[in-house]
Order: sequence, then C-alpha cells, then structure tokens
Amino acid sequence: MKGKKKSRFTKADRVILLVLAAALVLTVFLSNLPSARQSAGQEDASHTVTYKDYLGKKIGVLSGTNMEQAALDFFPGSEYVHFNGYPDMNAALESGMIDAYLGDEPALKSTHAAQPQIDYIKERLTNNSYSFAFRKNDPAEKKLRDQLNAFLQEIRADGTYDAIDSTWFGNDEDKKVVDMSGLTGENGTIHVITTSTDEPFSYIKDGKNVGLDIDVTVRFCRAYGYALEIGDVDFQARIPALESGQYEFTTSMNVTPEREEAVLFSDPVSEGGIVVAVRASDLNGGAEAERKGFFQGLSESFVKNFIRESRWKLILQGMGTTCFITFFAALFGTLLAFVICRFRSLDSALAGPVSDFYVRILQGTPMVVVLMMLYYVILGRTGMPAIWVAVTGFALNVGAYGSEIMRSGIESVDKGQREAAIALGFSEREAFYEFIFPQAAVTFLPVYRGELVSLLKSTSIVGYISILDLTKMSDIIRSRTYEAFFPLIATALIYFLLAWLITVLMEALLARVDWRSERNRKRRAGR
Amino acid sequence: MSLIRIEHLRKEYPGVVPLEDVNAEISTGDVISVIGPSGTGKSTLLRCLNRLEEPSSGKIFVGEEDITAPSCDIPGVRRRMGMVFQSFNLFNNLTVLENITRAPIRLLKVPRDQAEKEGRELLEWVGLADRADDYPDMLSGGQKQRVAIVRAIAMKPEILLFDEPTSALDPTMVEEVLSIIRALARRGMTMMIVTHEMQFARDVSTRVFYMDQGGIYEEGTPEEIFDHPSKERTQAFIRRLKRLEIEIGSFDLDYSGIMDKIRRFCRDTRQERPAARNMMLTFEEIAVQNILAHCGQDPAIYPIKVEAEYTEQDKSLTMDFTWGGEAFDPVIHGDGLAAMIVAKLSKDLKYKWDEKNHVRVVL
Repeated sequence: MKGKKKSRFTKADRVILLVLAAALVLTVFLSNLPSARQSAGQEDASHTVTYKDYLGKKIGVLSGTNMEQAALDFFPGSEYVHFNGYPDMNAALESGMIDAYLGDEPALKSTHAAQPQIDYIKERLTNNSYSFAFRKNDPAEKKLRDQLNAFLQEIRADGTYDAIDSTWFGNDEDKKVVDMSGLTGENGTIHVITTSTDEPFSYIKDGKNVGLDIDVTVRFCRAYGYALEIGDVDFQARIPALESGQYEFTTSMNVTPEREEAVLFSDPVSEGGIVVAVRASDLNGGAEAERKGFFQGLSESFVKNFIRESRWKLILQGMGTTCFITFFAALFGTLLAFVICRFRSLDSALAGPVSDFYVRILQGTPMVVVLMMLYYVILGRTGMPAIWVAVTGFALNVGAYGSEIMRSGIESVDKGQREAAIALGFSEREAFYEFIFPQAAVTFLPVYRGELVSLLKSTSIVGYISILDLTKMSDIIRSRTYEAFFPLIATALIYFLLAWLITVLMEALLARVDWRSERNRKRRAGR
Repeated sequence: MSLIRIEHLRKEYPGVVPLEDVNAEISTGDVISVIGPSGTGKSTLLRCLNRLEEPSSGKIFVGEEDITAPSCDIPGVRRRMGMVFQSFNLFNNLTVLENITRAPIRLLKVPRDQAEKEGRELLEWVGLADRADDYPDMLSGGQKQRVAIVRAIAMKPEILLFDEPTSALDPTMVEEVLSIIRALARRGMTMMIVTHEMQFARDVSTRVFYMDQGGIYEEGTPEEIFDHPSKERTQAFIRRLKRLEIEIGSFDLDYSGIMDKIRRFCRDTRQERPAARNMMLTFEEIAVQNILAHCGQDPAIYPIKVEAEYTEQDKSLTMDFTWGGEAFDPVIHGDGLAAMIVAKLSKDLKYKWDEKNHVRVVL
C-alpha cells in the first residue's frame, strides 16, 4: 500500500495548468479591449460605400463556392483569404484580419440581424438562385428531382412557400422550428447533405437541424412518404459527398454554369445574390457598437454560447464523438500496429516490402485526404456510418505510425536475449511475449503516448466527412452566436484536458509494465 | 556413452563455408575445449548443436534423437542443453532469481517454491545469494556471467555449451567465471567450451578440439594438443601461442596494451608468476629507458621489434629486441643503471650489430 497519498498532478501538470489559466485571463482581457483598427470605408459620410471601395483590400471567400469566382471577377488583384464557413469569416472580419467578405445575401441578412456590427453593401454583385442539387446521369435521382420540382411548384402556388419564407427571414424566433413529424418512410429514406452553419437555410437550434432548406426538405419528404436523414459537412465537401452515392441531394447551392455540368439542379428554392459583407462601422462612419462592461459582457457571452438553446449539450455531444473516435481508433489502431509489426518480422520475402509499402502510403498522405477518400470513394457505397469510417481511417493511420514506433522499441532490445530464451527451450512466440515485448513496451510507450495525443487532436478534421465532433460543434455554435471567443476557448480547454487524461492513463500503464518503476519495486518487495 | 554424435556436419553462408565436414562424438562426462584461430567455425559448431544455427547438411544425434530431422522437437532438445553466451544475455526485465527460475517454472513445470529454493541454492553456490532480487543491470560482467551459468544449470541439462564465456569480461573478472566452470567439471558436468583461455583449456578439459580448415583438424588430450601436436597447423598454432611479437612503430607506444599482451602470454604459456614481472621490467629498461629514451627521435630506428619465446623443455624464455638506426649498445652507450637491472635479473644479455641492432635477453 502507498504510505503517502500522492497528488495525481505532477509538478509539470501544475505549471501547465497555471500557464493555461493565465493565458485564459489574458485572452479574455485582450478580446474585450476596443480594437484600434482602421476604417476601410470613407470618412466622408455622404459618400455611399460600394464594393469598389474594397478593391485591393483583403477579401474573405468561402472555399468551394461560387464566391471564389465572384472574387476574381469583382476584386481583381485583391488578396483572397479562404474560409470554411461563415463563423470564421465573421470572426476574421470583426478582428480586422480581412476587410470584407463575399456572402449570400440571405445569410448576411441573418448575420446582420444577430450581429449588428457586421453589415453588408446592399448592392448585389450577382443575382443567384439557390437550388437543391442531385447526382447526374442517375434515373432514380432525376425522378426524385422531378418530384421535388413538382412539390416546389405546388407550395409556391398555394402560398405555403411564402409562409416558410417569412418564417425563416422573419424576426419571430419562436416560429423558427421544423416539424419533423409524419415522416412515414413508406417510400424509403432520403439522405440529405447540408452545411449547418448556413443560417437561415440550414443551421442548428436547440440541438436540432432547422432552417428554410430543412423546412422545405421535411415538408417534401412528408408529402412524398420519405423518411429523412441529414448529414453535415463543410461547403466544399458537399459535391464529393453527393457523388459518393451516400446522399440523394444537397440543400441549397448557388446555381452556376460550372456546377450545372457536375450536378443536376432543382428549380430554385430561394433567390438571392452575392453581396459584400463589411464591418458596420465602415458603413456608418466609424460608430462602434455599444460596449458593455468587462464582466457583464463576459457573463452574457457565456450564457449566449453555452446556456441558451442548451448549447452546452452540443459541446458534450461533440466531446463524446471525439472521445468515441479517439478511443476506438486507438484501440483498433494499436492492434493493427501490433499485427503489422509482427507481420514484418515474419520470415517471408513479402512481409517487409508489403508492410513498408503500407506504412509509406499512410505516412505520406495527409490524414484529411485519407479520410475523404475512405468516405467519398472507398467505403461510401457500403453504407458504413461516417463515424466508423473515421475510426477506420484513424486506426489505419495509428497502425502505420504505431507499427514503426513499436518496431523501433522491439529493435532496441538486444538480440542476445531472444537467443538466450530460445536456447533455454522457449519457442519464438514465448520468447517474444515473455522477454522481448515487455522490454520493448517500456521503450516505446512514452513515444506512443505522443502518438495518441496527436490522434486525439487530429480527429478535429472529421467535420470533413459529416461528423459532428467537438470542433464541428464549436463551429456550429459560432455560426449561431457570431462569437469566436468562448466556443474556441472551451474547445481548446476540452482538447487539452482529454490530452492530459491520455497522458495520465499512459503514465499509469507505463508504471504497470516498467519493471524498474516505483510501483513494481514496491509490489515485488511486498511479495 | 555417446551423448552427442556429429556426422558430416556442414554449414555454409553465402560466400563462406565455416564448417565443411565435421565428425565428432561427445560422451557423458567429457569436458571438451574447442580452440583454434578465429573464423574457423568454433562458435558455429557450438550453435549448430542446439540448432541456434541451421546446419546446411549432415546429422547431429542427441542420445538417439536426430535433431536435424524435420520431426524433431527442437525446443525439447534445447531444454536438455544449456548454453552460456559471450555477452551473458540475461533477461533485463527479470530479477536475478527470476532469470534463473522462469524457464524451469514455465518449461519444466517445476513448482515456483521449489524452483526458487533451488535457484537460491545455486546462487549461494556461485556467491551471489545477496543479489537474488537485483536486476541484471546492477551486476558486474563477471557476476552476470555467473548468473547466466546458473540459469543454464537450473534446467538440469545433460550438457552445457559455453560460447567464449570470458571474452567479453574485464581481465580482473575472468577468474571468477573460470573457477565456476572448473567446479562444474569436478562435479562431472558434460561441457563443451569454446575458449581463448589456453591455460584454462589445458587444466579443465578431458579432450581438446583444434579447429581449422573447416573442421576438427586435430583432437586429443590436452597434453597431446598443447605439448605434442602431431599435425602441422596445430603445431604452428601452439607455437604461436608460445611466441609473443610486439612491434613499436613510433615514439608513441601503447604501453598498457603491451603490458596486457605480456601478461596474457605468460598466462597462456603457464610460466611461473615472476616471469611476467621480469618480462615487463626487461621491456621497460631496454625498449623504453634505452632505445626510446636515447634514440627515440631518430625515425630510422623504427620499427622496433620485440619477440619473446618460451621453451617448455628447459623452461627458458628469450626476448629479442631488433631495431635500426645507428649502432647503439645499451650496456655501453645507454643508461647504465637500466642495463644493470636487466643484467641482474637475466641469465644472459648479448648485443650484436649487423646493419641493425640486436639485443638478446635470456630470462
């Protein structure tokens, strides 16, 4: 038994926590200072600001949207900064990282309503219609598209559409709910891919998918006897997701000639155009939004980001997903690493090159590409749930890196001990498990711990394949609250604590297997 | 009774054939030393016996069992043969006692209590009872090798194979290991020992295998091999053992290396104790105090050759110093005191000049 109760925190842990706390306080403080950025607009209040005032400035665009083309057309020679979603662009605009960004008019209407410091130039750069997109050259898809077009005609004719439109563009929050009842599924299930950081078309409220597109989709499914499943990815991943065959259609996209070659569009679901989002202060001559007291602002912000609409549940849910992927990828990946490692040591001419090939392929390919390939190309058609695709992808990766780590550990044990064991009459297997591997483990476990921590952190890319993990959830919260600070800090803190937990668990495991550890010396002495 | 029979054993590696055709029989109670120049397959032969090396062809019988047969239970055969390695190969993750008891417990199903009791007794016997719970990394080389021997004995093998058991040891630790092997020989343990310790080989063995030219070139009793070798290569090998050649190429000499060589030479040739001291002293006074001290800056004197030879019959030892440069008789031109010391401890001291300097000292 332990004589003295020792703290679970090592000295290093305490220092890290202290530094982290200090950094937190500092960040909170800095983020509440009035920013001293320059106004990009005109000093002369009588001048009407147009997009031309932003020529040559830093322009934000959404990756994988037609805004990239619009930026080239309207802002030649400007510096373009690419983003994956509106929340990032809003934060960047507010902090002065960019001077303007291109967005869809409806989305910016909602943004401005919730976040007055962001406004947009009313003049549209382009007029667009937003349509749902289907796979091309697929009779079943075409049939579904025609059903949707018929449905759209119907609701436009009977006024239902106007009601929907005024609900989602209106100010009455209570009305903004989607009635999910009555989805019988007698004609099968429709899988819809969407990007739920796209208010008012598709976003998450009270933990549920809502928005104009979702509303239309649900009504369509109800009318045609379909059940509905919703997948969630970033904008640029939507077409690949569609093409993988896992989804029947995506929610609203800008209709462009280029896209029409790739996908089959429905009739317009809504209309709008590309506008230029700018800081409100640039439009109205530098008047800053009202500043609240430091602590009052902080607590309001906290309530908004975590309490309202039970957003903390999203964080918890995302954390659970992150933990799930990390745990199973670590488990299967470690098993795989071990198998590769043993396979390599086989007395076969094939074993070495084959395992080398595997390891090189995975080490040389970015994880996000591996993941997208698995999801959209290889496993997509098998119907495997995205979360298990992620587990598979990360397990493959851990298998590649882990096998190398294990191998170096095994090679660090001198060969003589294997011979000694064999000479005593142990089999190769027994020699390995009894003498070699326990020593190798002590060498490689500290390195392996680092690998698992980096696994945890790299799971933050699973948003690419429609998984709502911790990072994605914080994106979703940011897209609703238009605040970057709390969701990001909370996310960072949770990742840090999870990484710390992995470290503690691995240390405990190491103490268990290391024959030189304090724990094992005591255990032995007590025997 | 024949314990091991080796028939036409051949072992080849790509490009090398260390064992061409080996035939031998080992009987219970034999203590066989395997000697010979390096690279003649001594260790390979030993490692073929328990199949750590795969023989290319030929047969090896242990008792009546052909261990080269595909059906042979190799681990079972290995349990009957203990092996001690040059580099000890203790299990670093086990204590000394666990190193000894793990195999009997796992492989022979000896109850733990009994295995530990026997292990402790064996440790007591080799003088390491108090190290039972230590880990190998806390032991000296000599202690590790003693533990390795005990680990092999704990399996109660029919034969013990030693693969150069003292080659990796510091000279001061050689004896503690050899004395244990001697004690095992006295107990009648069957052993086969690859060694470079000629004196030890001579003392402990019942038979000696001289290996050369891909096989057992000559075998016999220690007296036959060491004193009256009958074949040419054996004779040359034994003669070389009785000769020491040292060459000094420059003013910076490896003094302690030379002293080690002299010490080892004296041990291998079984000379009386003062011989090594006398040789070292002679070397010091002639080579260092005279030749190097007086003519060391003249490059013409190098190389200085020192040759020593021991003759068993009259137990005489001669040392010859040969060097170039100008004529220099240490007794007349050199350090008189140094020359006197040598003259005093030697039977004879002669200087000769024939284009080179020669000094012959008979000790």
